[in-house]
Amino acid sequence: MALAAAGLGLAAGAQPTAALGVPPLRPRVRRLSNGLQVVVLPDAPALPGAAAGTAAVQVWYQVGGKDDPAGRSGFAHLFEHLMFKGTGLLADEAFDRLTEDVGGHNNAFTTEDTTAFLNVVPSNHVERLLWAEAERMAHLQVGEAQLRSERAVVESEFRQKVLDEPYGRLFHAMAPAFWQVHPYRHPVIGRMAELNAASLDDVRRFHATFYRPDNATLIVAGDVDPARVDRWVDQHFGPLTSPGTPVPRVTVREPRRVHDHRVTLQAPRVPAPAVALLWQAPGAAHADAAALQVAAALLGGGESARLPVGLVERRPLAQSAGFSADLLVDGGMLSAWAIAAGAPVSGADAGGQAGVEARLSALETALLRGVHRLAHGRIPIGELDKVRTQLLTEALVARQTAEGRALALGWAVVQRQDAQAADVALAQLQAVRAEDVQRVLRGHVLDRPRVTLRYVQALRSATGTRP
Amino acid sequence: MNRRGFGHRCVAQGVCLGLGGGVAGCAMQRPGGDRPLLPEPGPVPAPQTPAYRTEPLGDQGLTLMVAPRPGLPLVSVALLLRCGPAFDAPGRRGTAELMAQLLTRGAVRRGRAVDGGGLARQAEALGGAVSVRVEDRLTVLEMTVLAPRAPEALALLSDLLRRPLFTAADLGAVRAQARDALALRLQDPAQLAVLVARRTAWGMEPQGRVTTPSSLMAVRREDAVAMHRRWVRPERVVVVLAGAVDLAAARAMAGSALGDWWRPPEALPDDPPEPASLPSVAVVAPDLLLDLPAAVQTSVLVCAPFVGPEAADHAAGTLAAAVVGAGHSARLNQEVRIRRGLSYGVSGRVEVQRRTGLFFASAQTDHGHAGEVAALMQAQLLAMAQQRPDAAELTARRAALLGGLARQLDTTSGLVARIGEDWALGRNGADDWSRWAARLEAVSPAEVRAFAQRHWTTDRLRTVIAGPIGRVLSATGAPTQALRLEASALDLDRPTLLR
Repeated sequence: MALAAAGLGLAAGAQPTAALGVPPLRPRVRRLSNGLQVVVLPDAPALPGAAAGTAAVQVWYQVGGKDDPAGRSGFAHLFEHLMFKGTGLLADEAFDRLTEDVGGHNNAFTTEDTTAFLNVVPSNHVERLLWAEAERMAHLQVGEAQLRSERAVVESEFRQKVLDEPYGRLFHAMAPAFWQVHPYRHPVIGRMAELNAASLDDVRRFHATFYRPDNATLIVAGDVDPARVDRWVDQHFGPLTSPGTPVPRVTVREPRRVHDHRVTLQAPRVPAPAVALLWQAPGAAHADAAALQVAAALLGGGESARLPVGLVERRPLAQSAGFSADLLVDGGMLSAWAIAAGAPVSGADAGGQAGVEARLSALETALLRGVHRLAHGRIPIGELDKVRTQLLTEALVARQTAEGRALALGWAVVQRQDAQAADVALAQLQAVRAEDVQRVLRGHVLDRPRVTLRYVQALRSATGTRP
Repeated sequence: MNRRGFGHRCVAQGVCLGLGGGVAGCAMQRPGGDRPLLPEPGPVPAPQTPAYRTEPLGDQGLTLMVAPRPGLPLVSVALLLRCGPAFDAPGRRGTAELMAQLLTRGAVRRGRAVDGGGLARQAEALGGAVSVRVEDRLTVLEMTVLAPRAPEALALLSDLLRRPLFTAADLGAVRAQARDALALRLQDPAQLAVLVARRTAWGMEPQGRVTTPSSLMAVRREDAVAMHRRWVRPERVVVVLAGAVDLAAARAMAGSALGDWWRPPEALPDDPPEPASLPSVAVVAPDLLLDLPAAVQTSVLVCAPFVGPEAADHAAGTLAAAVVGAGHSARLNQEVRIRRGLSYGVSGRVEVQRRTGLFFASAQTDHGHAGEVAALMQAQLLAMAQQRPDAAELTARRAALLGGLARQLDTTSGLVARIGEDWALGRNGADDWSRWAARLEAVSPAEVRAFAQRHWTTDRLRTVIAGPIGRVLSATGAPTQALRLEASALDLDRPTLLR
């Protein structure tokens, strides 16, 4: 298959790409008359092993944090939790009965662009899950008590993941600091005051608006007979209807940033000050996406990447440093970041503050220098080969399970509107050349306006701590 | 610093274990409308447990374990060493962890000293990273790589394990990092609660010793060197290869990377003894309140005795732990999250030695509900001794355990992890996996209750609440009997826990 690394053989020598034998995913894709997209990926007969006997059943809805109703940030994620409540025929939390209780498991997640519901079950239970997913797509019933209880769970999740994690508040602050007008500027988990304002009417409206066959992709992967799956899908999802109205879509386009912008975020209990430099990037389906991902891996993928070597290993400026390319559907964010080395500085007095400023400025300079060198200097072929091997290995590790293969298909649907694109994305990563990396860095990063986000310990008065 | 999505579940629980044919009875609500009802499950697929082969590698004392898994061109490569924190000298708790970290910080490769940065470059050039895992009596070095890179990966791991540099500078750096990480853990209510609970349950037994900043800083280079010299020898090491590799290729690879490693002339020392049971008296007090005034959430932890795989009631105990604590459907999560919305989730897990162990259940909640959550958790554990679980619940939890094992064995690195764990506990891996379903099947509801009656009694539970205790105590239902300690005054090296 073509996706096996052109570069893979270069460093270690003598590994013809074809000999790697990476099996392509090649799912069967069809669409029901109600608009539901159905993607089926049976295990290859030549794939014996312990995985036999299990299957993944997933439903991906094209709705995410960016579709939160006005004044209800966090609603899409709260709604994800509510999807585990009952229907006329299903009891609350029935998905646990249908998965965990028979040896499977279930989960769900919400991102800016999508909400996905994941199940893994013994393959003789696949039809039951298809029935249950159709049931909650069409007939979810949520009451006031359930809304209140799940909101409390989300609040707890917020405290645990945002307030309690050492750098949780920094992640939470990135989107609002970065996006100017696009609804991506609202953090997916939302703001607690807005969630508290959510009503049962909001819940019913959201379900009717977004949870419908023509806004969903059903994925079944694993030890299944595709003909049987087709029959079950027709039987359980076929009768569902989509409203005649179109699904509302975000039409706001993020304007190109014209000025630099600086934000300093003060928080209690900052273990060490940190800085993130943020640049605009194109969306996940853009032709530059693969080169940007390779650039991100060259700069930040692992201990031997450019920024960790430059800022952590060679010069003890940072305790960790990296680069990520978060490419969403409507646009992306590139971030170079570093957490300062050394003992925590309280910043509680003027001397401490000046010290923090100096350390963060040094980190910014070093991050920019690292990016600049990659964009203009030589990129040895071995370094590129390393990154391509890392990215391929990582993708294949994720494909070891039926759930991982289904996830790869789901992301291809979200990001490229094409389930077949999972292998294309992998092949494109392998085809990236040094000049591509340098071209995209020059186009999207160097000399482009950026947002600088500094994260420092709050002064005592600002944290609300009593003297 | 990767971005994360927000999800529905906490991290999955620890107790795991084929695939079930169970049918849960209570998913359906009253019949309604003319919609089709929940279909019946199809015929149960034949259970499949992966096999692996164990054989001596030459006559050097080394063992080779190979789990072929055709399909994707990936191999997980690992070296298992029978050594871990249980082998730390008194007052030097942290030696095994530091030694393990030092293995990746410098080694002699092809006659040349390579530093940590160089080793990371070599590992990443192979497409992976070396993961180091330390358990009670086990140290694991592992990499997952594309199949053609497996021989190089094994050669790298072999050099890391056998030819470390152990420079004083690296020890200083690793120790400082470990100390900083520990300082953060001591400020984190959930992690602090685990450390303290281990101490209150085990007392001054070796199992109860936790790594503290002072024990860590007491570790000298000579300690790491001595530990390495004493325990790192071929008779104590297993080479594991799982994935796209057959037995012949595995033998060749292992022979090439480790064929020149011979057992030393010194007699093989005995492992430190393993405890037979938990002490029955709590250290300091059974219920503790740890004051961490700045904590955002309060952590509630309840721990109870557990039994190791050599105990006759291990399968019953595993089911008991699963009924209360394993998974989203377990009773604790039902009561705390699903019914009351008091926490993002309750997670249960077990820590086992051969004969004994501990069951932990923990939840994070807001300060005002911590007392209520603790009482709910204690009540659920104690209720196990009062009433037998019904057959349907037991069937479901059995299926969940077997499903968890099947999922672990679904990936090459999960397979390696499980092989390592079994080896460290003296279990005969693959045989044990296929018998495990039958062993769980044989446990009756009465045996589950009997387990709880034996081990989960009021006097054996240990509860730790960590958070801003003033706010915990001002709520109704706050625990009144518990002993309050200031987290800033804790000294986990001392029997009293206080400086």
